[in-house]
Amino acid sequence: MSVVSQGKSRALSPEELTAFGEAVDALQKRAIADVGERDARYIRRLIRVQQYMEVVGRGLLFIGVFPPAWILGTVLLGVAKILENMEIGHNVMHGQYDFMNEPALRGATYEWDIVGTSDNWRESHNYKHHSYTNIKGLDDDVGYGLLRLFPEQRWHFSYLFQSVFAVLLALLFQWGVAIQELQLGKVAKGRKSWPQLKEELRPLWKKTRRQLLKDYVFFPLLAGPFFLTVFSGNLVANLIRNLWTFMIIFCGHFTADAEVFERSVLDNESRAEWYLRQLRGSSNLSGGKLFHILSGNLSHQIEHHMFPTVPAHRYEEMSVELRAICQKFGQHYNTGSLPRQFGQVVWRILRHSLPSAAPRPRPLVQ
Amino acid sequence: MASVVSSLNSFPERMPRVAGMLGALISESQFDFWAREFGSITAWRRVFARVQSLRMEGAETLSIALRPNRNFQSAEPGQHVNVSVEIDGRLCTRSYSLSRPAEGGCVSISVRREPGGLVSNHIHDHLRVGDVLELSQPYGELAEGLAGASAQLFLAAGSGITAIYNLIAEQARRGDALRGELWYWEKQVERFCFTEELDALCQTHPQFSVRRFCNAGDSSSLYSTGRLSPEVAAPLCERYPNARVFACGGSAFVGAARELFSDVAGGFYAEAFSPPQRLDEAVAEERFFEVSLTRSGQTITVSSQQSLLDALEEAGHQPPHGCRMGICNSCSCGQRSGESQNQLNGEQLRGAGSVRLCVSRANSNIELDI
Repeated sequence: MSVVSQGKSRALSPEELTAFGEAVDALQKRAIADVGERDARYIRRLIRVQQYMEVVGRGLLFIGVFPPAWILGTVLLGVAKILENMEIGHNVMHGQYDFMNEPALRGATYEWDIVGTSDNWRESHNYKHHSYTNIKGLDDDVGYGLLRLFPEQRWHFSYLFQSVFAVLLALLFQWGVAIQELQLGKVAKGRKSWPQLKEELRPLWKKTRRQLLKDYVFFPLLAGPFFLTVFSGNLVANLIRNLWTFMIIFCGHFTADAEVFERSVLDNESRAEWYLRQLRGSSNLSGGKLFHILSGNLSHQIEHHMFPTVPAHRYEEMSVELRAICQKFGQHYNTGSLPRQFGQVVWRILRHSLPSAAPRPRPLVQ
Repeated sequence: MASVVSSLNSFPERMPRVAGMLGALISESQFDFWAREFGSITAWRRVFARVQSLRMEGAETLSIALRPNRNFQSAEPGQHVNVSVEIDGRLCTRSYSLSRPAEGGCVSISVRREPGGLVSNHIHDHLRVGDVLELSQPYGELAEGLAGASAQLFLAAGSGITAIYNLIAEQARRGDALRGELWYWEKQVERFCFTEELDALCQTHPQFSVRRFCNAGDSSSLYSTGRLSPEVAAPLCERYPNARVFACGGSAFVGAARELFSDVAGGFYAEAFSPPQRLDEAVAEERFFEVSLTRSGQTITVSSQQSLLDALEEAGHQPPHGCRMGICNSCSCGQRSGESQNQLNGEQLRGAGSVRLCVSRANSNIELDI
């Protein structure tokens, strides 16, 4: 790894880098060695809570002509969808619960309850985003091919309107996730053929149709005369999840101190350097236990990026030691409250819609 | 969601309309979850079974009568099932032979306590009536030898008796006359199983007899001594020139039986089980194992010192993969049987589960869903 653009962290000597990598590795090994019954109990309990919330939420929407029932039902369904999407689906697909050998919780085959297919997600997120975190041109999550969030991204006049795109993306976030792997930009530029796109659309359409029919046809039809209350409740519940996931996920890599990298960092990148890149490209959110669960523990984005296969509910306890390691090696541990971090994200969206110059690159390793 | 073994009489196949409508509203795992919340072992596709009764057979073998849900296909005599139990949050899978004949919708397996065995000890110490286990569909081809009229020669060693007893008892239950002999080896006399039942069968089937072998401890007239050798085999072959021979036991025992009896006129039907790999053996020197790929139907040889991903690629396969360092889970693939080991955390996976190819190595012959 050669250079990064900016940062509050100091450059490490090769010896320090090795020691840093070993300390982080040791932390991860200890956690993995301890994985077992506690984690299985945790995810089972969470699934139970999520299932009951969903059933009660959908049930309340059936009597949604009474406004309090509609509101409570919608919120419960929204939260159930958030839990399934984040703390269950996302983490299961990382293989965090593969150790259980439970077919329903296998990372390679889990299908989550949103319009995008799990297979697309495993490619764009698990592989590209996690292996090439915040590397411009390799990690499609850097601006999702739509936004300019870093001065290192080349400016174009269309970015002037990116605040509007960002609001739309937030409202339709699950659709953004669904089509991300299609890389429509490539099609527009002629770097991907229409037949190929059509091929890729097939499984996506199958999944999308299932999700749409479920929320907007079958469940409303079950309610008979209350079709509209169920329909609207489902629509708002999906909207709640879209906004929440957008907010949490954007805080993960686009806060003020989150760094973006050039492709050259991959040249002979060691495990320790990989850890360092994950640390510097990610940012956390502070909050209580409930908040962490609702964020799918992506409030511990740094830990998640360093230890993506460790069950996420362990990140909080692991963060104590990780912070100590960061302090020891003079590395910035990027964390803050949701309003503070999201404020920085909003600022990035606004600021970099206008032309901006990248700061002078500083070395990561001496 | 994928299931371990696809079932021919799963819920969607039995009731396609109902399942079609339900499937539009909920997923397979939601269906299974709510069934269990209501105390039922009904499932979309998976086979769950409730423990109906427990009884000891001999000193160290526990027979478990299991009532499976309707997804379970009917078993042939002498077949085996993979049984999964949860231990410390992990679903652990082992193969056991069906033992006592099926009765009233229940199938039975018999589990011998293995010294240091994770699953067998857990089953002996913690399994209670009413507990729920997961089963695979039954498999095994010993029953192929049942069609025919010649005498039957059964050879069993240790827990190999379970499948052999099932073959014998199922035939008796169907009203077939038994003709032939069972030769049954145990290391200690207190381990002999199904003693009363086998003796009763000898009473009701005058052309059937049992000979028990034990080479340790008291040499009473009840037990013969000696191993499976040409000397003991020769008179048997003479007495039953057209016999069909069924053998079940450890791989060494079955290997010996195969050498002695594979030429008999009636046919030789055998199944062997191999002892679990010890961790210290696994890491020692380079060894070679066979990996069978269930989807492509191919078999490749891999080294114990090579990641499964490297080995597969070397053999010309292109399994999906990503980071090649155990992070992204892209290469995670289903393992049906055998034992592999994750080199990152040292964790061993025996039987069914998912294996991260890029950081895992084979510890035995394995079967992968590729």
